[in-house]
Amino acid sequence: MFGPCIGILSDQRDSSITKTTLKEASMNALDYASIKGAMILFALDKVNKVDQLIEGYCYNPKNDSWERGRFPYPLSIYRKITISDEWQNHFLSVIGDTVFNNYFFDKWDMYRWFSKELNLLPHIPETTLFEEKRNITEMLEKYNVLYIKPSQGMKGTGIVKVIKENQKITFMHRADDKNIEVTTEGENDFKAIVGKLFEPGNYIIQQGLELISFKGGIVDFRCAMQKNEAFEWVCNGIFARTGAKESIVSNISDGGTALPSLELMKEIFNLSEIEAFNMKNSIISVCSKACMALDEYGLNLGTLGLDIGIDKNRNIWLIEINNRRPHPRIALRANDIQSYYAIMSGPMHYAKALAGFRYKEVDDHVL
Amino acid sequence: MFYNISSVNDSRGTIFISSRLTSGSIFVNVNGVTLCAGLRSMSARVSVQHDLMENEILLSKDIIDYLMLPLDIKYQVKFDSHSIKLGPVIGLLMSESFDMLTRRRLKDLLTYCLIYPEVHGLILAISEKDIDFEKGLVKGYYYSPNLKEAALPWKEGIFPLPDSIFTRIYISDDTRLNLQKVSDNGLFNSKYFNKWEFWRMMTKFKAYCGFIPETKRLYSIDDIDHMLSSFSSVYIKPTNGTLSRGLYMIKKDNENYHVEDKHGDKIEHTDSREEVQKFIDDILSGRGYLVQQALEPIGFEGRHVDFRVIMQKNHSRMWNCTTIIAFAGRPGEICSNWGYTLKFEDILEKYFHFSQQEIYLKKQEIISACRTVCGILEMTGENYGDFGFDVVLDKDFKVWILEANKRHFHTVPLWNNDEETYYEVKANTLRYATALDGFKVY
Repeated sequence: MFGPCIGILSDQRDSSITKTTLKEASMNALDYASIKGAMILFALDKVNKVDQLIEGYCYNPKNDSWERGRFPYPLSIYRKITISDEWQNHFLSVIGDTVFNNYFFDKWDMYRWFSKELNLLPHIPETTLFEEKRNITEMLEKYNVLYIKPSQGMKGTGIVKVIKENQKITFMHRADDKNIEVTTEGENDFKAIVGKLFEPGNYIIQQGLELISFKGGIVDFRCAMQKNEAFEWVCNGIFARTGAKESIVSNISDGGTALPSLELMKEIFNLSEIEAFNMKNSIISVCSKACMALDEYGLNLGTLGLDIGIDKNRNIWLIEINNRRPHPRIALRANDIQSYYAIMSGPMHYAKALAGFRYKEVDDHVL
Repeated sequence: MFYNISSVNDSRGTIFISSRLTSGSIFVNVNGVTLCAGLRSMSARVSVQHDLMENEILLSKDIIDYLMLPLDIKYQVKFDSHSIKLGPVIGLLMSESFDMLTRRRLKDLLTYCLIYPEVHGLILAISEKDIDFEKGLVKGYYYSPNLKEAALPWKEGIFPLPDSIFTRIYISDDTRLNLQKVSDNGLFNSKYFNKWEFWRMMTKFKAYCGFIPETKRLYSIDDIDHMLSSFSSVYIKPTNGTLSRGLYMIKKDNENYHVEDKHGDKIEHTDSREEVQKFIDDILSGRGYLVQQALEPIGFEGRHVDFRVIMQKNHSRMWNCTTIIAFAGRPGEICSNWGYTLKFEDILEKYFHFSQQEIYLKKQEIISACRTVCGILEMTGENYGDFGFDVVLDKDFKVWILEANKRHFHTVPLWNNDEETYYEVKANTLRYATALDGFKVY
């Protein structure tokens, strides 16, 4: 055999596979020369469980095109969509534990797992699940600033900042590019706004952090962590994002910008080259610890986007992990197109290893 | 996880670990384990304690004394059913004798320790003469980041001989073979090979090495004539040289020869066959030479361009490219060291109008060729982790690998004002050393 047979599960329905889908997959296939074999893109509704065949597109490196056809099951699958447990188990029983990212976890899962990890605990903001308003008042006894976030939300939508000053509690959120502020004074006020904003069980309450800012916007760092052919996590890019001025979040989709991380750290903290190198490595180190912990829970993950914040005392905080489609467009915005290519082709290297073309056996006994 | 280790005076031969460890995924044979640190080991009893933190370990004082472990630093711990290994214990074998580990040398070695917070354990600066093979000990310095007041965070002492050792000095064959043996091939980058040996290794795998230029050992002008029947010009270079010292280019026009030195200046009295034979006899009297197919590297403004590709293993023990740096020579010279340096991406974009995607693909092509060479060099059984390749692209942008340098200049990125990459080069050697010792890089 000259190469692996790798699947890219891109859509629920075959009819939703568009030219754009294929174009993006061509970026995944960019380093085909070192992957080789067959790369097959397919949708879930064209998987025939009985014959164990799929109908989809096979990558043709000669003219960078995708050719329609019927194919056997691939040996590993890079999964870009959510699938049911039933499908997950089906693939597990037929091709083995070679589907990634195989589990989508939310912010609350993340906190429950990582708060048990001694080496991650200092980097995880204290978090509780919102079930009743008492959860908020209890957290406000410990922290003057809180963030309340939808546990499944992405891109900073639905985040509310809560500030306690004297006896007043202010709720701030962002809508239509504006900050909306509501200040409550009495118990009834508070109850009403909490009831209006948050659905019990679907929101988490997080300790507020005094994250660094740059030109008036909050800064955080997006780390592209990916597993390589040796099943080791490596950082294929780290980018700084600054939020729009006065915005309570640092998401680019809300009008912020992306910048090369090292330059920004040097500027904000007035760091020497060596200090900036150390800070960057500390960030990556927190990310590696988190990724290794996820491995120990038995999840099969190969490409993640970790959001890291740094507070004014230079503490490093793991804010969230994006595991649905950690799009590396941020690399393009930071004008780092070489990292973009590396991140796009990263999952295929891991897929190759999962398909049995692993680089080298590694030890897993260090705990 | 990183563990604090403390000493217990009122017990003997016992390691105390937290019950939280054994209730998890770790199985430890409580009746007895082999406790190791570097190449020292002894048997010990295991006592599981409920009141210990997960990341706390206690050792009887006799164990600490035998293993020679400093306790002001944290360690990683590797549990197997019959052994517990504390580490990593890594040696930086960077001098001949203890006295030569001067303050200045130790200060330079600090760049290897920048990523210490990701690994912890015992990082040792050691010298060849102070290795005690019999006892498995070595005198040297260990890196102790807690020494805030002192100018240098290195402390002198006697330590277990490391089982993972990186060297950048010439060591005697005796030491090298001994270290390889006792460390189970944990000594890396120690074996020297010259250009000719390099070519001989490559030529065994010719089918995979279309990117290695044709090379012959130079004995007489017949070798040059033979090569010139296939190639329009050839280089002759010393088997041991670096930085293009002693490099000449030879071509032939009918029966007339033409010899140039590395600056592109014609060598007088080298027109006829007899004269060239005399010229060759002269240079061969001092050292061995090779004759190699000359390539026409890409260039701009009359400058030749070649590349230094730094290939290193990191914590995944896999060959990765740390950086590619372009050297642009002085106008008219046949070699490119050492005019000035540029970023690989910049030179291809600015002077050769590559798109970003083409740059990425060319880079992957170069890395893939270098990986092949790394693999071949390792087939000798030697352990390598750090190479600097000399690579050129010819007029058709075909990749050619000229040489693999083991003790390549780590400072090359600095010539480009790229401090970050320089620290990354140093960090990768420590990452590999840690993984080689079986420990993790966090």
